[in-house]
Amino acid sequence: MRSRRDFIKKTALIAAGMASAPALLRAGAPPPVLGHNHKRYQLNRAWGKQDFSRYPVNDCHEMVLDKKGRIFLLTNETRNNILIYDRSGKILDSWGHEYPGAHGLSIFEENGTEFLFICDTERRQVFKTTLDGRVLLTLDYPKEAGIYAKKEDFTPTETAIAPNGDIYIADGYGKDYILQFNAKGEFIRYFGGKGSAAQHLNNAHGICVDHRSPAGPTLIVSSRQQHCFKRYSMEGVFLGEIPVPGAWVCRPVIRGEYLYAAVLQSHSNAWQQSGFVTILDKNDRVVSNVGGSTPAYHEGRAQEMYQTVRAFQYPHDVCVDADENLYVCQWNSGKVYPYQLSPV
Amino acid sequence: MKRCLTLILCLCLIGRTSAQDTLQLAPPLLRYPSAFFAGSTTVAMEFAMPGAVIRYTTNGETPDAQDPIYQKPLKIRGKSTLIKARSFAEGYLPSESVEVLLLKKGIAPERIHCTPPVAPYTALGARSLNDTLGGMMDFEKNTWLGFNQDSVVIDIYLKKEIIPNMLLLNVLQKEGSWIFLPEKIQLDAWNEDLQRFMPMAQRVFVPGLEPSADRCLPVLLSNIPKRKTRHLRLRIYPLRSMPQWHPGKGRAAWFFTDEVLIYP
Repeated sequence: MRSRRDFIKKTALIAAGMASAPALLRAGAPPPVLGHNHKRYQLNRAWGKQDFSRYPVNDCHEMVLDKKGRIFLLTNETRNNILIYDRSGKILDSWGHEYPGAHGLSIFEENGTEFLFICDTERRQVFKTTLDGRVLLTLDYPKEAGIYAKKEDFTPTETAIAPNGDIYIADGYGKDYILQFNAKGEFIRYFGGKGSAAQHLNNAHGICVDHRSPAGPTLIVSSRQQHCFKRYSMEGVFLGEIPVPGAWVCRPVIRGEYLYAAVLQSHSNAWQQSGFVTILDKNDRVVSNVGGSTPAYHEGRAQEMYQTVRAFQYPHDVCVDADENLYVCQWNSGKVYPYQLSPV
Repeated sequence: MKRCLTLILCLCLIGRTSAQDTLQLAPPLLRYPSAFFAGSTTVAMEFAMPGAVIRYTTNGETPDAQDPIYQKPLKIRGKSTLIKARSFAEGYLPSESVEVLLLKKGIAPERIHCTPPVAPYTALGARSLNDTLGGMMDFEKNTWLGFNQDSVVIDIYLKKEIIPNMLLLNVLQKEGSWIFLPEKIQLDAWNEDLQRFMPMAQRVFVPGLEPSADRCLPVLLSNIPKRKTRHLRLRIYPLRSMPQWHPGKGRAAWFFTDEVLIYP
């Protein structure tokens, strides 16, 4: 009975992909401008398009930018789990056949060298690799934490790496714990988890380290089913909530003074390809919804957000380059390649 | 069929040569306390996009560029009303139409009994079936009764003998969540003289060859024989075997309902 109830929720995902997007085309229309305030963009849906027979993709889950400005795309297509794009949308390289559940991708620089962290939701493991795919470290669920009975309870969706190299894993499709390991992969502690108290999480889908405050870094975790982010100290002490009502927020991505996040879908129009991209300023206020409703606060409270323009279907991650261009990749959206949005 | 394909191909080619494709708007949000109402109710609409408007109809037609622009919440009084709305903006394709059917409360029964719903989809039990609350798509909202039994019986005891003219059972179709229309809904009425139930109406549903869009469906049981009764019985048979295209194929589906409306 319990498993069947869970299935009711989970299979909502499956029906979602079946409705087809309207694809009416008209010649000569100017590209629309999406977004609000000083975060407005022009959409280029052709940017990342490739020959599917050569560089196939399935769900395009996440992207990161390396020091050289190359964009790494992670897909759960095992013919090439990683596609490496240049800024013009050309593929420079590809690798990876062993990540059927490729979901989370983070990049971290350690003594001048960059490394990737891949979360695989099917293998239920986290891998640290070189930029060309050599595996350096594999993390399994921490038995010693005493919170997991078996491997199947653990479904890591994202990692964030602290300045000291500590690895934080979000068990976003498992038990919603945040698991902290040191750089060598030794378990330190856990926090978050499912529950109804303020510090608990529901679908801890993404995590990042927020370096914007002079007071030092903190962690921001998405609690997607609760339509909010939650902030914790690096030791896991709950510090507060950042509400984004109506928005199924994927991982937070911080670039400059802003927090960007792909919104998988609008709660008001769930499983109808109703995603957009949200942008918050350093005071945790929504300043722009790219493809979404005008941000509004009433007596200090954020108002419900939702899709207004069908620019995206189910956006899953956003990546920001040095020129403030956005790259958006999508889950379950007809195997589309990432889109580019250039600032106006 | 072939001509249709050729046409689609041509449209694709035209599209490919254009600089950018025109984007479609998302539909507006409709806000209302419940899909059911006693005396009157209110529907608010929302679409926060500069330059965009919402156009709506109450006559069942799909709104077009000539229909009224939404200005303030609509007051609905007296009769069941279908409201349709779409977003429009210069430079964008209008949205798909969204709609809500607001259903007027029927006669209040003395009491309702039903097969126990399955936790956590129990709402307030049988009482929820005539409380004018619900009709929302979110089945985790606590207005829906969920069942996965082989059959569900709803007994409606009326305050006095009437000749029922029509009965509506509001059901949920959300196939991705294993919630299907039932195989059959049978309405019977107790005949005091004969001391037995008499068949009144029946609706049969066959699952589609492909997934259906999620919706609330008020199943209408009408054309019923003119017979006096104080006790109506609905017998509902949930779908026993989900279709081949479904991830739960071959297994039993759930049945969800949240309101019964009886009109004399």
